[in-house]
Amino acid sequence: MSRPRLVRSHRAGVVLLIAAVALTACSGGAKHRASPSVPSSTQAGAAVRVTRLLTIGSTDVQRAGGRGVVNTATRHAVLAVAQQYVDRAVLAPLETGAIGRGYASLFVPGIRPAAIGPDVNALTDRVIGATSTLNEQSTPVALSALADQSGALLYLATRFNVQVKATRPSGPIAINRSVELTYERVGTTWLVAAYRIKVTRSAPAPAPPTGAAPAKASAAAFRASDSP
Amino acid sequence: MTARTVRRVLLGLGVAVVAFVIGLTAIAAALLDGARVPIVSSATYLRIEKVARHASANRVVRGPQHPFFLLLVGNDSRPGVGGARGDALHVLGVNPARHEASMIDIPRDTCWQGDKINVGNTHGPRVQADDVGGLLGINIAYVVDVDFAGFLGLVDGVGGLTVNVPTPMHDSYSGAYFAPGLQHMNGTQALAFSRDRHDFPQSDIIRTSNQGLLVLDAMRDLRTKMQSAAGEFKLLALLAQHAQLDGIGIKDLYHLSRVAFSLHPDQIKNITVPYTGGGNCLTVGPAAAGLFADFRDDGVLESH
Repeated sequence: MSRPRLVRSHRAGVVLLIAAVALTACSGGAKHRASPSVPSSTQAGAAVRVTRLLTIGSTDVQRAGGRGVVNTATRHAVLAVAQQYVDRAVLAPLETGAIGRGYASLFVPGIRPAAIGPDVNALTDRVIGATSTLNEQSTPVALSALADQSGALLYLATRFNVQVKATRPSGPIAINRSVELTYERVGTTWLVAAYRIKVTRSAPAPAPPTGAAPAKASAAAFRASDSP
Repeated sequence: MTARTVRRVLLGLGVAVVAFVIGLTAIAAALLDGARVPIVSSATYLRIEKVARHASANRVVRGPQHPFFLLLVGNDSRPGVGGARGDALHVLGVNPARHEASMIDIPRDTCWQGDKINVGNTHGPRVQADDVGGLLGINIAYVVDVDFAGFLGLVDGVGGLTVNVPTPMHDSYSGAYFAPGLQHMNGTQALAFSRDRHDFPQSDIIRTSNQGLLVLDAMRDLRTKMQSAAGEFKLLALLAQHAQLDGIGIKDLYHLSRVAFSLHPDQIKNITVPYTGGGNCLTVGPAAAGLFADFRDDGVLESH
C-alpha cells in the first residue's frame, strides 16, 4: 500500500489533485481506505471525503549493541497499527460520530484506561462528531526503533502529523494533530505502549459580522504504560 | 629477494604478531581484573544496579507505581586513586502517583557508624545504599554509580550540560574557574564544578549542594532531549552501551526514565542534610530527623 504522490510538479499536482477530488466525489469516498464511510451530503464539484494512507518516511535505529534492523515485515506491521489509529481515532468519529471499533485494542492494557478515559479527547476526534465533508492529509511517518544488545527490537515509535479540514453543521473546522506512538511487542503484534499527542482544533467564529477571531482549542496527552 | 631479506621480513612479522598477542592479552587481563579501560565506544561509563531486597522493587517490571528511592553516587576512582569512595551522594525520592520528587544531598564527610559515610562504596553500591538508607531510614531501590572517567564520558556523550553556576569559582585544586550564571560545560568542566570545595568556608557542604544543582540541571538538559521517542531511544542506547546493568534491563530503564523525565526539575525540592559543627566527620544536626521523616514516608519533602 503506498500513498499516492500528488505532487511531482506544480502543474501535475494540480491536475492530479483535481482528478483525485473528482474521483473521490464520484466514488463516494471509497478511494483507498477500508474504514466505512458514507458521505452525508455532496456539493457539485466539492470534495466530500478525501483521505490518504500513511507512508513510511525516514527510519532511525538506535542500537544498544552493534546490531538491529527494522525489516520490511516489522515496518509494515507498525505502519498498519498507525493507520488503524488514524482510521479509528480520527476518521471514524468524523464520519460516524463514534470512535471506530477496536480502538482500545490498539493499546497495551497498562494505558488502555487512559486512552479511553482522560486522554480520549486528545487522542480522538469524538468530541467533534460527524462531519459532512472531510479532507485528511498526513505527513510521512518517521520511524524510530531501539534495539537491545542482541539486536532484537524492544520499542518502535512512529511520528507524524495529521491535518483534517472538515465541515460540521455549525461550519468548517480544521484539526491539526501531532502524533507520536511508541510500540511494544505483545505476543506477535505491536501495540501502543506510550503516546505523545497534541491536537489543535480551530473553527471560524459563528457570527462573521462581528469580526471575531477564529475559535481555537487544543489538547495534549502524554502517557506511558507506567505513567500515573 | 634474497634469503636474508626473507628471513628479516619473517622475523619482523613474527615480532609484530607476538607484540599484538601480548597487547591483547594484557588488555583482556586488565578487563577481567575489573579495570575500566575506555578503549572503544563500549567503555563502561557507569553502573546501574537494582539493590532493594523488598518486594516492592520488583514492580519495576512494568515501571514503579509506588514511591521509590534512587541513590546517585559519584565515586573518586581514577588512575592512581583506587577504592571508589562515594564522594557524591544524592538520594532521589520519586512518587509516581503524585508526579512529584525530592532530593536529599549527603556530604561525603558525614559520619556514619564511626567512619565517613563514603567509605561504604568501596565495598560496592549495595553497601553504600545500605549505609545511606540506614542514615535516612529508607530502602533504596536503585544505585547509579559513576567514576571520574565514566562521568566525563557520559557528560561528553550527551553533548555537555548547561549548569547554572551560583557563585564565582576560582579553584586551582579542582580546576573550577566559572563566573556565576548559565554555563555550558563539557565533562571536564562539569567534573571540576562538582569537585570544587576550596572556594567555600563550608567546604564539603557547599560542594555537595553544588552537586545537587548539577544533577537537577542535568535532568533539565536531558528532559529537553527526551521530548521525543527518538531522543529517548538515543539516550537509552547510550546508557546501554556504556552502563554496567545489574538486576535491571533496558526496558526497566525505559520505564524508569519515562517516570523520571515526566517530573519537572524545577519542582524537585533539593535539600542538603543539616549539620552541627564541622571538621572531617560531620555530625548530622537535630533538624535532620524531621527532614528524613518527611522524606521517607512518600519520597516527597512537603514541610521542608
